[in-house]
Amino acid sequence: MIEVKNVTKKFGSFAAVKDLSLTVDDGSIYGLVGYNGAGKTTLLKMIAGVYKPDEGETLINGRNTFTDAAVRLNMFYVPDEIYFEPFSSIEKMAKLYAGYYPSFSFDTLDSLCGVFELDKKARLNSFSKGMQRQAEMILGMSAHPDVLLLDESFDGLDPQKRNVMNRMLIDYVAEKNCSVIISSHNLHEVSDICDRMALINGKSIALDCSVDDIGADRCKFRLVFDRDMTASDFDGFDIRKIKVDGKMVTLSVKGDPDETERRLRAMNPVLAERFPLTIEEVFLEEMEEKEYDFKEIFG
Amino acid sequence: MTSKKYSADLSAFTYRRTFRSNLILSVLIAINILMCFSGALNIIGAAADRDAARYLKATYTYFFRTSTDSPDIMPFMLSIPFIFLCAGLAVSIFRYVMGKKSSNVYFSLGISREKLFVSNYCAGLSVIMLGIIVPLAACLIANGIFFGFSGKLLFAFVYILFKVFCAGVFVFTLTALVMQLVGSVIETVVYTGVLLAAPAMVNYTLSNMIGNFIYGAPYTPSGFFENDGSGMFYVFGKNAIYSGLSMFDYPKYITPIGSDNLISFITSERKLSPNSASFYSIGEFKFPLVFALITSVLAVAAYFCAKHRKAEKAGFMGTSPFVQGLCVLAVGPFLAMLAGNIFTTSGMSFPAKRRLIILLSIVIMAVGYTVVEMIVLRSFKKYWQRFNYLIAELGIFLLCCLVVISTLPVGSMKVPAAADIESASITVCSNDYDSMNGYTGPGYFNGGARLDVDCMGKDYIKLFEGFKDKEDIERIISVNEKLNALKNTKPDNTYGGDDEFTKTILSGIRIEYHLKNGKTKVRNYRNVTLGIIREIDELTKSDTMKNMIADSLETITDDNGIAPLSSYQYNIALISPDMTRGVSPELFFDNDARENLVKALAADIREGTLPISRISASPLMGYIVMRSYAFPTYDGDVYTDDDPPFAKPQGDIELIDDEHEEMSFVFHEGASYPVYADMKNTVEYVKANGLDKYFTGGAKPVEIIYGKYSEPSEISREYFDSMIFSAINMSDRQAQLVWSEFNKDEIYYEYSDGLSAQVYYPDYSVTDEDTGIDEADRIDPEDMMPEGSTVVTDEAQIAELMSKVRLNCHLCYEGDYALIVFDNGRITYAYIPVGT
Repeated sequence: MIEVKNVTKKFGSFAAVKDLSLTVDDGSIYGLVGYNGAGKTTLLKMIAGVYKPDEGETLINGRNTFTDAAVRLNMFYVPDEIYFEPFSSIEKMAKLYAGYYPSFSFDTLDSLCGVFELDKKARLNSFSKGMQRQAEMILGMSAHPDVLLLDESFDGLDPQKRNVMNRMLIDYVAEKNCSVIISSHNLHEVSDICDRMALINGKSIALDCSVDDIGADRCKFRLVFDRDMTASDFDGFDIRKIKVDGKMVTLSVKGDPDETERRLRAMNPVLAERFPLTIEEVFLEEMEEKEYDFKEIFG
Repeated sequence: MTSKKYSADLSAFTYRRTFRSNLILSVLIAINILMCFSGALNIIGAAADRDAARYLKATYTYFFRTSTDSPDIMPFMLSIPFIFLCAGLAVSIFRYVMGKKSSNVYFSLGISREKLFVSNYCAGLSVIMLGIIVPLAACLIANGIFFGFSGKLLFAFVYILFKVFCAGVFVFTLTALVMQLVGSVIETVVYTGVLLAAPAMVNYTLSNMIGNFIYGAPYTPSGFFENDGSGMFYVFGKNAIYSGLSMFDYPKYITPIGSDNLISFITSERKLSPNSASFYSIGEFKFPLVFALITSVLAVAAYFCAKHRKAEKAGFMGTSPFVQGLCVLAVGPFLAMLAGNIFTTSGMSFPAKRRLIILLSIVIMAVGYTVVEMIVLRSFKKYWQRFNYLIAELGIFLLCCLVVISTLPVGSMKVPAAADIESASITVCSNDYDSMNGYTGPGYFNGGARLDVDCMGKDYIKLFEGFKDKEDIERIISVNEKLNALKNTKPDNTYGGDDEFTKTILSGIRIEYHLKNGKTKVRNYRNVTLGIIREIDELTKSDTMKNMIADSLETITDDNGIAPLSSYQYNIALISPDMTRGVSPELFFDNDARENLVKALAADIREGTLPISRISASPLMGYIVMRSYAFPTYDGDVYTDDDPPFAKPQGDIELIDDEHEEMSFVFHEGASYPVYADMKNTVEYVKANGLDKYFTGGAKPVEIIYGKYSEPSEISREYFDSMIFSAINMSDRQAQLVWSEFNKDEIYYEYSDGLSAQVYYPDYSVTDEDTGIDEADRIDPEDMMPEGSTVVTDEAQIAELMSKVRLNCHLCYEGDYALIVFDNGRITYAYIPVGT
């Protein structure tokens, strides 16, 4: 189990992560979603033992990942910026990792290289970006870690390879009952594979729930009234987003959808429709997107 | 499924992996070291040559050096790549901390940062050791086979191995430490380089701070680059402190070069070398052990820095304000001292110069700090946030200045009591003379500005040392007190005036007191007056001085320290008092005759009839002049080494060779001794051997022009102030200005200062900087004398003046300078002292 307890990380006066907590159970794939610069990579690096939290701690099975190096023997971190030794091949990098990971398997390496059709003796700097990501994933999986941290690891993969990667991860987790954290800004990518997701917004967790429940506590409504309405008419609701256009109102409300619908219908709209929120809409609402008038900017 | 490759010991795996991947550097180090100590290769070659082998076995006990020639510059040059290789090894091994990407991988591995560091560090040590021990072992074996194995050989091997290893590991460790602190390779390179040079820079700064801030300091300010005359070159000068920090002189530490380099000695023990046994003692490991201790401290520091290394530093510049500040603190004051020594005007008073140097230091440090910060941070806001570091650095520097200024001067200006002094010595900067043998009114006689004396960091020639007589010691104390009184005076670069002997001028005076309690007090001064120099000059009349000069004259040797003065290496000639005739009689090619001559001169020195100043009121009979003849023969257009001139009796000799100046007798180094009528021993020798007939001039003077100079003439004063000490150093600065052809329409003159004859041919266009006279200018002899000079053509008056003229006169400014024109066209430039 991975535990992140009230971690804060600052770079100078800038706080990349502030008082953030989450838990990842064994046998689950946890998605970490957030806008660029939200703190996903920083969080993963703290879990990986690369960064030391300024406050709080990161634990794997109760052991601190920064101070206890041994806990990292069964943890593999695939960073966003991939590193390979100069002039190295998959095979050469495998020898490096094999020395540091007790469970590293060259058999697994060979098998996975076959699946992804990568030449393990070829120079890695001759690979494309996507191929390098595949190579890094192969190396990580070959280490048979109990904890796998993937930072934007699907970036650059074609749909076919992504599909293969997804299946591989799901099967691996099921087989090993390990914990995986995937960070991405691609919601679909994460929602397809993850059990749980966390939305990081403004350095802290804005939303932490299972993928299935991500939209369960909110809903979108489109209402038409026989009179002109204003936003203040809906003050009693936990509005996430509202757009009033005369008599027509479109709003997203947090709360029990059924109860919310009942209360809205009590306002006697001429027409009331209810729609489930997509993950993108939930993401955007939570990220507090600013409305930019680009016509004004470029006009 | 589990890989058999996994190493249960991650540290061992890390060590093996790092060692293997850096073996190429081990090979390069081995090649470098082998070139430094390739003496064994010489041995292999020499073994095939019977004569060479015999020579080596007769001369050496063992041989590690590159060649038998000394000094050998190659090892010095090769020590530089050694430093780069060791630093490069550290960069190669620890570069993972510099990269954002690489630190993601290595810091997430199942090995702690400190263990990762230790394993890599040990691998680096192994790489260095392998690169050193293999070539040295090869040299050991070659030496053992050729010379035979011995305890001394094994000791030398262990000593060299240890010392070179320490030097290499120091560089490696320092670089590794810096890498744990900074975020980029460029900073690593720059800061490591600065920190390697830091000890020398700090040494320079401190010793110059003392020299510049304390009046009468034990150390003198240094120049940038100095040669101590033995072949050793010192970057940033050689100071008293410096010799104690030889451990930081990497080339000396690593390579066999230099006369005072322990490695230099021990790498090739010559059978003939004295005191060789003293090197085979444990005590000689003192410096390497201290060096190793310092390296250990750095290694521990690097360990802790590695343990706490922040991965977020990787790839960013300016992440270690501490290291950056340390470098600025080392470099800033150093540059300021250097600038202060080079650029501050000599015309400043001591306190003014001190203030200027402090101000310079502050400006340079502030500017340097700002420049470095703006380069690494590229943000004025961040620079401002770290501005307190600059304040701290300036504060530290000013505190050091305050400590130096306030705590030491009391001691340094204090003059010991005469009763506490065992012996004393006093020396003057030797800058003015090529011969480095004397002093004049220092600065007074430079061709340029009066205050253009550069006596900073120069080696002093101890002209007056070992004075034990009470009167002499009291004179030195009196001089010291007068020098102390000049502290706040401003040097005056004007010539002449009523205060000529009281105004402050610049030179370098060093006084040493050897106390009865065994301690030595050293004082250095730059402010002096001609009056004080005259007071110092009185020491030449002491018995101590006379005996010293006479003793050294009787035992003087040539450059190789083998042949005595009485050997055939010197040609001795008798020269007329007007220097119009010279004769080299056959007598002087007899060793006994030479010895007897030298003894006679020495006796007259002791008796005081041959004054050290060479000035006497007694009638001048002539000169006995000695010249070395170690120069090639000119044969047409070719110079050959056969038959060095003056190696055989010459009879009448050409004092000046009209066509080949280098063949002129007066051209080469030597010494001249006036023979006065009251020099009983020498006169007796001369007469007994029938030599007095050679004191007759070869030409008749037809005109004398005499007068006084209101401004210094480069011809005039510079050449007359020479001391008998020239006898010690075999150089002489008698001045002779001759016209080989007295022709007003053809400018054709030459003059000799005894050290160089400069010949100007009619079609030779050159301006002599010393004389300021362009040969294109047609000059009459009268034009070469000051305005208002008196022209004498009356025979009787000429004869009277000729009895008074001297060709040298120490510190004589009140007399007249004279130009003597002879009937053969020659002109001699002379001096008529007051009182003659």
